[in-house]
Amino acid sequence: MSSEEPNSVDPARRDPIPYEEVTNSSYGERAAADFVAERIGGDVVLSGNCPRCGGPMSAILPAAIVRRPSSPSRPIGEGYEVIGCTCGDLHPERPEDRVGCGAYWTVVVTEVDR
Amino acid sequence: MIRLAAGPPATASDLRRAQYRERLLRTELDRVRGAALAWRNGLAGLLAALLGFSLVKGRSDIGQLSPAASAVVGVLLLLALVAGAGAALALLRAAHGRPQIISLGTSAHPALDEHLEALDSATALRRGIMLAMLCGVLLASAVGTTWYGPARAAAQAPPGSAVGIGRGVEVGPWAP
Repeated sequence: MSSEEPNSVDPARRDPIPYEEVTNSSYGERAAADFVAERIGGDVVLSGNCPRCGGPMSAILPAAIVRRPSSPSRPIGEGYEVIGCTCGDLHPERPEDRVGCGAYWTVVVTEVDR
Repeated sequence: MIRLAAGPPATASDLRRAQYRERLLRTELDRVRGAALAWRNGLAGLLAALLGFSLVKGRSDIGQLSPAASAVVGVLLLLALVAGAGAALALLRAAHGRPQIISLGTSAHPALDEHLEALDSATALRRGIMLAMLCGVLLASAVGTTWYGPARAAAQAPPGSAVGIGRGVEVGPWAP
């Protein structure tokens, strides 16, 4: 894992960038500005383009999930949320059990009254 | 309305948390389906063993029971049948889903479909397990009632005959 300068995303680029688990402070800023947040039931869905690779992606922040009962849970809206790229693009050198390009960042999700 | 703002710098621990959540979501439906199949097979085998090998067996002739007790046994068996059918349907729904035709416009969100189906299937699985347990309890109650319920009262003796109180002893009118 490392930090890197934000790439300028070129939608027309032919060679996909390789998978790398990296973060950058600008990722969160760009995601906060560009992503669309929807509340559906108790879940929140964030949709937009990955700030690193530019691939279209959605991130689900579930209110509930099927898992082991002993796993601790934290309600959405407490603290910050970590988002990882989940785009469907092909990124070389990506491990088999991973998705996206490897970029990750944090956002603060706040419910505000209109 | 939801507002987004940039969060604090992400750490390696944050990355693992995001990967864990993503993996949970990606495998959620398969895990629920697998669990439902295992529960379905296990409960079906258990009920088949209980009934098939006569581990749960009542009196062979429930005509010996009082009318009220017979009615109770009938109601319990009917409820057990309903609970068993409900359990089977709920477990099948959890294991295989429900064929449903919907308009694309009514879909909540493409990214959410599998997650919502997983939650519905998990709810059906829990309901199926509870109903199967209830079915077993009702069956046991019905069998217990056949054994321990009050027996039918002795029939009124016809005129001119004396009926003994002892078990199965009956003395009729003298007929040379």
